Amino acid sequence: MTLAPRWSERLLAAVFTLEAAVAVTGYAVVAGLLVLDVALREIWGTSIYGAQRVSVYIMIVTGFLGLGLAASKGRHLRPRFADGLIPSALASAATRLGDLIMAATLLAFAWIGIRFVLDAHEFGDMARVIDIPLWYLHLVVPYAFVATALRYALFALFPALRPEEVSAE
Amino acid sequence: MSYALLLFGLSIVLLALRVNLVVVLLVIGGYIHLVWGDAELLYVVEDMWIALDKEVLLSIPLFLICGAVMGRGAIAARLIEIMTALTAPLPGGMAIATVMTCAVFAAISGSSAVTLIAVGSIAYPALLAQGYDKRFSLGALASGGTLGVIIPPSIPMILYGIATETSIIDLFTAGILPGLLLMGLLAGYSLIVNRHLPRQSFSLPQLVGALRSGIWSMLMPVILLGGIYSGYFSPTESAAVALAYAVLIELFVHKELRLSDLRDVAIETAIMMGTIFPVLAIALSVNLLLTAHQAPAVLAEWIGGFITSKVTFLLAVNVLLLIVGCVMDMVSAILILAPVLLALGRVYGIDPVHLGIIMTVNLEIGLLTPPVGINLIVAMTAFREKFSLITRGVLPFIALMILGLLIVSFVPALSLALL
Repeated sequence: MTLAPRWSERLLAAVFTLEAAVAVTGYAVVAGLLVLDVALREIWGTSIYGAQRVSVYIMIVTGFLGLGLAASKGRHLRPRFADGLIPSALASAATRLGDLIMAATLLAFAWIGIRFVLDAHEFGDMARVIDIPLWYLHLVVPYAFVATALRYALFALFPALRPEEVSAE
Repeated sequence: MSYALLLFGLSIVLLALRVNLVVVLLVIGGYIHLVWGDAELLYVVEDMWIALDKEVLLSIPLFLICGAVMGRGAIAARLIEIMTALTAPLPGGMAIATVMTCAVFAAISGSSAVTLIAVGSIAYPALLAQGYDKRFSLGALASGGTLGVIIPPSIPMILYGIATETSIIDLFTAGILPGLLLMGLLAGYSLIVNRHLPRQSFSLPQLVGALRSGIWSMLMPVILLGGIYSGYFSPTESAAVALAYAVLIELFVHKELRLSDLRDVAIETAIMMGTIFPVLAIALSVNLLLTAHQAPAVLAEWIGGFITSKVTFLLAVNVLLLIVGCVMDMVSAILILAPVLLALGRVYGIDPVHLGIIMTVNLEIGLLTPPVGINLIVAMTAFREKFSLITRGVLPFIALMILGLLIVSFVPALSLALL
């Protein structure tokens, strides 16, 4: 198997670190906000304005970031009943072709994601409760598709980068 | 018809090329929009955003974080101590304690894999040390771990509730008696199989000691489920409370969790959410379109031409879901099949909540059936045992769970009595 160039490993590691840092911060904020909101309500009879709505937006952003995080750890769900349709001698080539297809599909949806952002910008859509332009949040959609497409493109080019698949519940 | 066949063929080709479900669903969603919809792919992304823009979904990452915190802490060990002290005088007491611990732990974590790892890592060596058969022990642990999806709170039930717009609290309530039934079947079998093993004497001081150190762990399901059923918390709030409680007792009472562990827990949760959320978003997006075109209703009408009785329908659904459970993971199966089965179930007068419980129990059994039985894979990795040995170990438990499934299917009151 061809060794992957160092730059590709560093690039993937850097993207993972950045996304993981944002996701960890996001979940910490969501957990903190919701716990504090319940505590304030039960103890002092008050609550944090918009806590759930803010948490939902953070969850959506971290959820989309998870698309790439799961790809980098081989954790995406994949029904395996059709694996046997391709002879095992061709399995490696099939996986690379599959990776290329995934990269191309995700790039196509990244383009649609950009239109999604532009639409929200054009119509002046605002995020509920927090009252900021919704397109700020929508930016995560094309980013997530591009970042995940990049991973699969690199896996197709350098199969050594491909993580071992892990089944997830 | 030819477009549908083309779509089916395309999906199979993509799966054969090892394409992930999330991308297969993107392609299916795009294809449906292009061929039968308004030929506007932007709607796929818009529907994905709408699908995720729901407060109730917040409970999923919170329960996942909570389960991961508990998996790293000492809650499982404390629960096992209490259950062992309680069941010591029974034949097969340790095995019964293991099954009961799985049930209680599941009632907090909501995840079968976390339950299996957390309880199994302590109980498996203890079972072997007490002379329990290795195959039986592996079977009991792998099967006990599945109780996490039927005993509330349960992430698969939350997903079913979202996919079918069924009350999640009703689903949680409906899962209690079937969960207890399955626990009873597994515990009863453990008692009968191990009747020849020496019993231990009951020790009140041991029980009191175990209760004293484990009272914080035992209180957790009481607070969590009590809060939900009394209407004090919503499922999302209960997840937040459970998380706060778990972190506090693991950090300050049990003192077996470090702050650095919390960062790893959050990363692990982000990855798991990355696995679940895109599939959830796209599956719901596709479901929205299919429903708009009345596809589930048309399918229900078509199948209704072949299946005339409710009994036949329930048997057919069980067979279908058991097969699906062998080849598909639980999240995908629920998100893809639940809306269609709901439409079919309505034709035969099946309550959506009852159908949700039937589906959950079926897919719970799927956690034990190869090749995709996730608990088999988790057990193989966690206990470093052969896949074939674990598979043989779970066979009698699968038979018992199918018995439980039939009772759940044909006695709707078991699920609906507490509603």
